[in-house]
Amino acid sequence: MDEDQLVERCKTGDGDAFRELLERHQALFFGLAQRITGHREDALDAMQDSCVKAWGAIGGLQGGSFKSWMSTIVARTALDRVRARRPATPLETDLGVIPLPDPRPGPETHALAHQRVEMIESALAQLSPDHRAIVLMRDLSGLSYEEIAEGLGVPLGTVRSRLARARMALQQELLQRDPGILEALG
Amino acid sequence: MSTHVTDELLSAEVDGALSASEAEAVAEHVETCAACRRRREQMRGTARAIADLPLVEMPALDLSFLPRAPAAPVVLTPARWRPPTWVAPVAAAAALLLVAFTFGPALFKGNRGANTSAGVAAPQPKAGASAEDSRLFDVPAGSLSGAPAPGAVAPGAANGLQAGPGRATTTLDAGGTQSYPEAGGLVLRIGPPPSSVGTGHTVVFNMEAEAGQPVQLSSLYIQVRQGAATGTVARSTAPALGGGGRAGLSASWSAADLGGRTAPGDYQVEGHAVLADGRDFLVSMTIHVS
Repeated sequence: MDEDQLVERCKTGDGDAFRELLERHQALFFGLAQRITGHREDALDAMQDSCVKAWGAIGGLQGGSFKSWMSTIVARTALDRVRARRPATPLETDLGVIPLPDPRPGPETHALAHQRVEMIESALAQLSPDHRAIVLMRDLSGLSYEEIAEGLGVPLGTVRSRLARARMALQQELLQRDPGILEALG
Repeated sequence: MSTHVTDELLSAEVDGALSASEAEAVAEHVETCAACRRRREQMRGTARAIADLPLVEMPALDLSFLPRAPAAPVVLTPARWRPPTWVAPVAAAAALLLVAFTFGPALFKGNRGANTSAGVAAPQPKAGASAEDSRLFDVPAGSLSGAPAPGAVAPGAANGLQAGPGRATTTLDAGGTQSYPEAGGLVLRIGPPPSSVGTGHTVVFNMEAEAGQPVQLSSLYIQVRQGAATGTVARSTAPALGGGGRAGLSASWSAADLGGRTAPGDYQVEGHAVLADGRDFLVSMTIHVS
């Protein structure tokens, strides 16, 4: 059953269809929530809240992608949770999660890839919550500028300028850790 | 574009989010500017760094607030329902039928007793049997008319008749179970009556269908016949959909629904349970009031 059919079933009150949709993308959603909040427990709470919100609002999902739609809900909910958190709470750079096997082949050894991921996670954690959210929404979840604008409730122009600033901030963090990393990734 | 490309334009260029004129200007400049070409590659690398992050396994969430899906009713093909099996199931269904029938003294003054007999009408294997079958339910509820059929039927003693002063309670085979392997393991149960039965003037049919898969018990009717006249006096209010493989229906009527008719005679009560595929069970009994 394709996602559009599952969404339609959700609209009839079929909770199992929602479970299936969630299961298909849960690793992406949780990765988004965890990297925005920087805390596993906050991410879990954000996911829980997002599911309740999404289930209550899915009747309004018309023709769009569930993955994108849910991603905006997760990102916004996670961002709200970060803002409500005490400022002194340090972020977890070692998120303590089990990365799923990455199906994408690469020439690097597993150890090297793991080291690079840790470096990127560490650089990401240094960004402001707004910057973390927008680069993750665009580059991890693949949301369009329009979807990001709607999800964050900001104008399209703000998405473009904020995303550029966020990428530049991330770039500086990455270059501080490894001056050659961007050429390797580009 | 004589000056270097801004970060915002480079970022949007990575995403293919430039307008046509912007894209043309950026491309023209980058072609001749090594510094901006390098910046563009770094911007792409930055975006790639996030895109390449691994997925993260999510712990279990509490999704108990989500309702379970209503299961689709089983559709049993008539071909699987072999005619020879109808004889036994229907006879068994009659044996399983339970009726609690209580007459109050106000309705049947001087009632000397009640005799009952149970039987099963011919099974109705017709395809697409309708719950609104006019042959069976041709008189509106409460409009029973016509003279009672003469003659008594079999004595009630064999049916567990309990007679008392002005009151008679008849129970025919207090519940039972019958299996139909040919119908996907369908099991039909009749009775026992709910605890509220027996407080007066009430006839109750309970029927439960159970299968190893979702099953629908479409309707249950109670009909009363007096002579040539018939009347539906009670029906289940809604189909029972057994998503978990079990469906139960109950229908009851009060003797007062007969419009005060208290004349002795034969009263026929029919239970009509229609399964999801249109096959139905017609179970009838005659209750004789003398």
